[in-house]
Amino acid sequence: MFFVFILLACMGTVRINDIQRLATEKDLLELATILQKNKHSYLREEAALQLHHFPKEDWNQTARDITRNCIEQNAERCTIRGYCAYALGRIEDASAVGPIVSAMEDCDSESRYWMLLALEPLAEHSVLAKAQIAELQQDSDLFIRARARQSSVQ
Amino acid sequence: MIFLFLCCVSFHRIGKLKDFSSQEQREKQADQAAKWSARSFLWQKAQKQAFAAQVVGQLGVTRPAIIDQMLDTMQRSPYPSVRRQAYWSLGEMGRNLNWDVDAKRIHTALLQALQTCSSSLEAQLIVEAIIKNYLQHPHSTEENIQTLQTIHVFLSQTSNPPSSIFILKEQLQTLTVLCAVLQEQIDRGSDIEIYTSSLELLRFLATNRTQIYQIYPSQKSDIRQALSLSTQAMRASPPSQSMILWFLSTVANQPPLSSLLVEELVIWEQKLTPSARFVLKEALFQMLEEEAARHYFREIFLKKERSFSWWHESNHHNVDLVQQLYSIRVHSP
Repeated sequence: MFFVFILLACMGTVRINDIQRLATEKDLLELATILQKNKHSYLREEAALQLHHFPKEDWNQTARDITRNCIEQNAERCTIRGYCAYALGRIEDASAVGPIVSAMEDCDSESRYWMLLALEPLAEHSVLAKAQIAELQQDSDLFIRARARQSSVQ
Repeated sequence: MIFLFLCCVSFHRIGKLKDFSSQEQREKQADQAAKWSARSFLWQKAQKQAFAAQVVGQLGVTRPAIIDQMLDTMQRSPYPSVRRQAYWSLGEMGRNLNWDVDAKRIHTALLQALQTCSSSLEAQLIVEAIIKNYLQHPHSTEENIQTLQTIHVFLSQTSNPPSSIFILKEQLQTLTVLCAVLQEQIDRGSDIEIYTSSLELLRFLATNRTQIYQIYPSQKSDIRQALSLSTQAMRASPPSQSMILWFLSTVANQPPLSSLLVEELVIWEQKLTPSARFVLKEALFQMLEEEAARHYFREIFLKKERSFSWWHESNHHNVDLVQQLYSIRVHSP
């Protein structure tokens, strides 16, 4: 009994492992649900990160809507919004461009860098994305400036 | 048993630290996460320490005690994953600091870590942290010299530098700083570091060649010093000679820069290694607009080189080298 207590107390990896297992099992909807509803930000963050592993054909409209909503929510942590942006950028969901551009006004440099990475594949589909990348060449953050310039050259 | 239950720290407990509802709670949780980044856990020690270090960076609290703890974690942790998170977190904290005691401590520690890091991934993260902490503030020339010198030493020791180091270098490099760094390396006398710093200076001159020629009238002494240091570097480091001469042939092959160099290069011939001598001739050949270069080819080169001596002896009364080179017709007297 003593050792059971110790084991349960000290392991505590079940929840993060659950999320990683959902990614392995390709359960996108469950991950999106965690992103939408879980009260712990570190789990929402992990869920958003795991979304990056899903190819375009695996995404359904519900998952896209939830992920887009994540970007739009000002109350959500910027790190998570950045990861959500990146997930939609990877699958070239052009409907994410507007929310990403808006979110970039509120967030820290590290999150905005992820959002810039999200905009890169979207630039072919969206003039707004292209314009935003061009504007970011003058950004105050050195990494964002350098990446935006590199994107423009390519 | 309950005491032990409460003492054990799970991923969940560490992760929950990311959520806060007040600044006071945020600071308290950052403090806790910093302590856990160095704690000796029973299970999954490295993963939990790394996770805790990540939490510190994401919370972004810059209290000196937290910075102390993260510096300690960065310097002492035997786990690469933990050190990597510590570098990242220090960079994130550096974004929120003024250029004060804490920012300087982070900078010094990161520069030291760059010298001893064990992988290119660690180097990448260290350089990114340096950029976040250092480049957002203006700095004195001395600070930039010290930083660039460390970068050059690192570059001389690695064949696979991280890409972000070029971003950092670009922001630090000016002619003054590059010359000061090369002078220091020449004084130290290490061949490979002289080679690296010479290469960086000459690359800078080559990249900015057009501007260098344009600003020459107003920046004569700085440019003269840069070229002088290049020749000093050749003296101090024979392995660097060919590289330096090749660059000089492309950077300083036109007046007025060529006039600063050509006579010294002619004197240099006797001191060079055979392969460097070949490059020297090529460099002088690029500088034919200078009389000293033409004199060299007429009077020294053609008389010394056997295959050309015969030609010179046969033809020098009739055709001058310059005439020969530029196909100028000769009228017999």
